[in-house]
Amino acid sequence: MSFDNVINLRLFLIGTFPEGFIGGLGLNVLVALVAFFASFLIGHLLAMGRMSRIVPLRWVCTAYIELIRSVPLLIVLFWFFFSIPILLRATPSPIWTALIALSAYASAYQAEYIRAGIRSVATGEIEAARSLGLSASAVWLRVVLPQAHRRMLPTYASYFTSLFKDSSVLYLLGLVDLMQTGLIAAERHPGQMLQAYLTVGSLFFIVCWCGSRLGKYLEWKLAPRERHHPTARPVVLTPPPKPRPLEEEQHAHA
Amino acid sequence: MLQYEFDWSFVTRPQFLGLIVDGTLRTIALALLSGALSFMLGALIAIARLWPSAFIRMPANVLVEVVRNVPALFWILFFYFVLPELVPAAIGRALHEWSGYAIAAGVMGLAVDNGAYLSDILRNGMVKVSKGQRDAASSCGMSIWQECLHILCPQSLRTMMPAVANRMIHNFKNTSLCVAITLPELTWATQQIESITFKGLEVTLTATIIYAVVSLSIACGLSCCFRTRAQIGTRVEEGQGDVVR
Repeated sequence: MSFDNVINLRLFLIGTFPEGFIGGLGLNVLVALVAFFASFLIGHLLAMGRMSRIVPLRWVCTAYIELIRSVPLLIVLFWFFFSIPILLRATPSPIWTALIALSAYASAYQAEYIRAGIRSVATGEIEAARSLGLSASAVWLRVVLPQAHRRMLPTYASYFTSLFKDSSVLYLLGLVDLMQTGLIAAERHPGQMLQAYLTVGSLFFIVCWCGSRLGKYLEWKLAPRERHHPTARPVVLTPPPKPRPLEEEQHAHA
Repeated sequence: MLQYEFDWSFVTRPQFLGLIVDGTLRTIALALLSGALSFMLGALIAIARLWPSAFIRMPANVLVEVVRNVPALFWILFFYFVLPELVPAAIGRALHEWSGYAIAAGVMGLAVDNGAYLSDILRNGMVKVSKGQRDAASSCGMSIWQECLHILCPQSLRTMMPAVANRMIHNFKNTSLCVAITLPELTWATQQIESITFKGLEVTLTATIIYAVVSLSIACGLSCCFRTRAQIGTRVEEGQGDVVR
């Protein structure tokens, strides 16, 4: 199995970068990073809206989160793909559509993680902070959010991995991402399709594996001390003990 | 003001309505088939990951790690394009000619991806059954299979159910990825109608309603069955928090 024809690693990693927009793995990483941070900010607003005392605001945020979470990413991409030209009366390049759609999609998920983090902070903490006379913003910024984010760090890491994997869908919008470069390479060299796919798969694997390792590490680092070290002996099922042969027993009696 | 008039007339045309209904049915069938297959795969891999012998445990762990760190779309494309090249030429040619191969590849791709996640949920559920129960099972002379079937599965199934339901909803949403291999499901029907009528927004909204209704009703139905809230309202932890959908 030879990789030489297919492995134009440059194409897989950055696409046709100096000539065109960044592509390949670089595009996936870029889109995932931008969408992750944008959705982290929007997610805060949505989470607070969903926990707010103003009923209409709570309903709107809940409806948005639940609607996005019950629909596939592709459909969310189509929404923006078809509605942005109508709203703006101009067609932005697909990369902008992709960034906006992916951020909107991810913010619904991030909002739920942020909300879970906020709810995990003990009410005693908030009451204590209030009784010390901290202002409402100080209670949020210095007491609730630091603890919530600290607790949810592993979740954020694994969500980034998930978002990175979701970004592979973007090739269906015509972006030249890692998946598309793989398909191009497979088309150019039909005899070496397997190699092209293996390259794409292993590039995805490397990035995601680093992400999930980071998540595991953070989880171990933040866990209470009594938890096992990840390299502790694995839990396994124990087979039943073998019945002892009869002669041995007689021998033991004698 | 926005100058866009919604035009829903395509819904009444039998040609397009047929595409949508067929697509919806095919999406649901795809979700059911791949869901069932992934549950079996997941259960087998979960038991393999708890097996006393490291020769069985390690390959299962590696397999799960590899599958989980590569997008579902990759597996669907892999089974559709690459698998017929890997098998002997005669079988490969037969697969190319088989009209149902797109569905088979879609089901396999989705099942492999979902199975890896399910194996994690099932394994964590089994591990959480108390050690005393497992010790009691092995001291009664139960084999590992008996232990799994009679002791671990019944006790862990209740606690795992919200996470499994969540994963199944995710799998249902993932069926839209099969549009990449031109499997005629709902998203494909959306694209087809859009390319004929240019009513992209209306068609997408129709598909949104169908997807939302189905996945919210799976969530509501399961949460009524198990009295736990599967998707609505609460974030459900899958396993020990390292897997989050």
